[in-house]
Amino acid sequence: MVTNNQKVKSFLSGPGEVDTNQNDQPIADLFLHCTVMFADIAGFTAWSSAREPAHVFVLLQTVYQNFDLIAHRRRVFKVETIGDAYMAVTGLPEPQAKHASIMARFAWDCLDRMGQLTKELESVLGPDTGALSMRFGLHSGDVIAGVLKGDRARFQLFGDTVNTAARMESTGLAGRIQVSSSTAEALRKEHKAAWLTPRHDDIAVKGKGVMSTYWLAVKKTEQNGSTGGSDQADENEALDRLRVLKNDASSISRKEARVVSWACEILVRQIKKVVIVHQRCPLPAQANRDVIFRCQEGKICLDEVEEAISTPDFNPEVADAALDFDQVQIPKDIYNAIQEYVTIIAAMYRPNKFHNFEHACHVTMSVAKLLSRVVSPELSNVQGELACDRQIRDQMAAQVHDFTHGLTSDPLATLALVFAGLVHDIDHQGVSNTQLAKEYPELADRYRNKSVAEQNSLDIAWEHLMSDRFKKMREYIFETQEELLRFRQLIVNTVLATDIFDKELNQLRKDRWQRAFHADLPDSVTEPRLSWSTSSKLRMWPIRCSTGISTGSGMCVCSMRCILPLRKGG
Amino acid sequence: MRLFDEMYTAFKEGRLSSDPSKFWYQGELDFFDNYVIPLATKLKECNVFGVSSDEYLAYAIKNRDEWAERGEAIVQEMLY
Repeated sequence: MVTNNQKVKSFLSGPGEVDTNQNDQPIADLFLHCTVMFADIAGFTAWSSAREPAHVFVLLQTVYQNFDLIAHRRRVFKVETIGDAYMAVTGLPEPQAKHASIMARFAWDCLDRMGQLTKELESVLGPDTGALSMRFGLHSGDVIAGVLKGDRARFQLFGDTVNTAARMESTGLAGRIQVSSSTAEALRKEHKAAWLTPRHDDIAVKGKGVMSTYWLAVKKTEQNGSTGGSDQADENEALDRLRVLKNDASSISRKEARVVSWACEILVRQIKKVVIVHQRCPLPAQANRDVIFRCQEGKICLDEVEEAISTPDFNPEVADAALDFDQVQIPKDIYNAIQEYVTIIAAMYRPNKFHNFEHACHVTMSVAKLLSRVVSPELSNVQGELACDRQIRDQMAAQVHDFTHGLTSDPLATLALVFAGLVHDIDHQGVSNTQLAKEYPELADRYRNKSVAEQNSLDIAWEHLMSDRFKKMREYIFETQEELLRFRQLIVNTVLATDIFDKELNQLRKDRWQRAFHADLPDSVTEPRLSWSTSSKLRMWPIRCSTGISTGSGMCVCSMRCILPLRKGG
Repeated sequence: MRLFDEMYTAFKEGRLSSDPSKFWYQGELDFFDNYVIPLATKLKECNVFGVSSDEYLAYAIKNRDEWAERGEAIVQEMLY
């Protein structure tokens, strides 16, 4: 006779499949002495809303894989993950006399590891990652465990102990482990009373009323070593550079260095997209590749504001090439130059509460996210008959190119937009343009009292980019002088579009939008315009549109955070 | 919050003529109504994000409503 307990163990130790011969027999049992843990990332919704899905998965996968390793080492049973929540149990399938202290150590290790991981990941996943932490909740008692048969049958826990553990997590605090009185009692029996501190305020738990709980802190002597690795080396390098540039070692934090590393990687990714196109679709060699531009005397960025900017016609080879950008190996000296340039940019930001380098990174991240969500033809995913018909495939891609004004198939434009995000508030003084003009009348004069801060930021960024030390980097990124000029045109118009308080510029943007997207109004700039549909990605351009990016359409990504979810919970 | 801090600092230093705490609640509402929501509406209209083009407008309206409800209390919290 096979007992329920044996069935559960058999399911867990096997391939995780339900025996169809025993369909009527439930696979479930009651386990009397267990501790259940829930862990949830505080602020995950807000954090993830500003990132690409792939980055969200990098975070969750990294965290969960690390937790799994700890669980394996501590003999903790991982039950499942649900979104950003991790659930584990001790005391089953085999009884564990010290189920409470095993789980307490596990939760403590996970909390500690989470702190390390988020710091390490900040240079990959961007600002605010280092500030992420988890809430942990533990409760001990009996648990029903088993397998609900049906499609995708899986092992699950049921019962009041599970619900209470979930409440311990949800009513807890970020970076802390909250345990119920039953877990506290079990820990005392396991001689671990020293790990407990009563929570001063009682908590109201749905269905349970008011509960007294405890904060857990495992007392242990072992110390975790340094994380090491290349990320750490990059971070140290960025830290050293920043200290030299700012000439004030005390004001530079590791967090700042991590954000610089992250910004550098974002830029490198976009540069690779430009470079792969050069490699696959080279232009005729030019004898004199002098890629440099300096503004003429008396001219300012404002003189370069355009109603519309031309973009290249669709080229299927370029679109195909850009998909393989990860194959580009950037030479070490160029990579170092990019890092140096980003570090200089970071150092040019003032330590304002808001308009600082971290803000620039937030904007850059929003730009990258928006760009990633612009509809694009996934050429590599086109299947069936379409995949065989190159002509149809290219036609689809060309239509999307036109519909999105070439944004998805123009790597130079995407590089320019990301670059603009990074440099748009350089040297911001933490005051409005009106106040800036009062405090620095000579600066206001130079920029004709229009978009003073924005033009100043542009000039500083450009001056450094044109310096001799970045000559080789420029030649690597821009194949021709024309490319450099188009890049400048894009960043000048994009950064000036971030001045949302200039009434004249605002009106220009509104008028331009009307002309671009409302066919009933006369269009003096480009013709004919798009015809819009809301039903399909690929069936909305009966009229071929002109190639032009409507500049400064009022799409200031500074306000992107206002149109992403506000929720602060996990 | 950070922008409020920056502007409040500027006010205390005499570099901003008005006390931001006096206009912050209404100012944010105006920013939603006159800038963010029209911008999100444009994103929806232009359809450049395909099937998820209306997502940003929905978030903007939701965030605006949340600010309308909780904004005054948040401004008070920011002052302390």
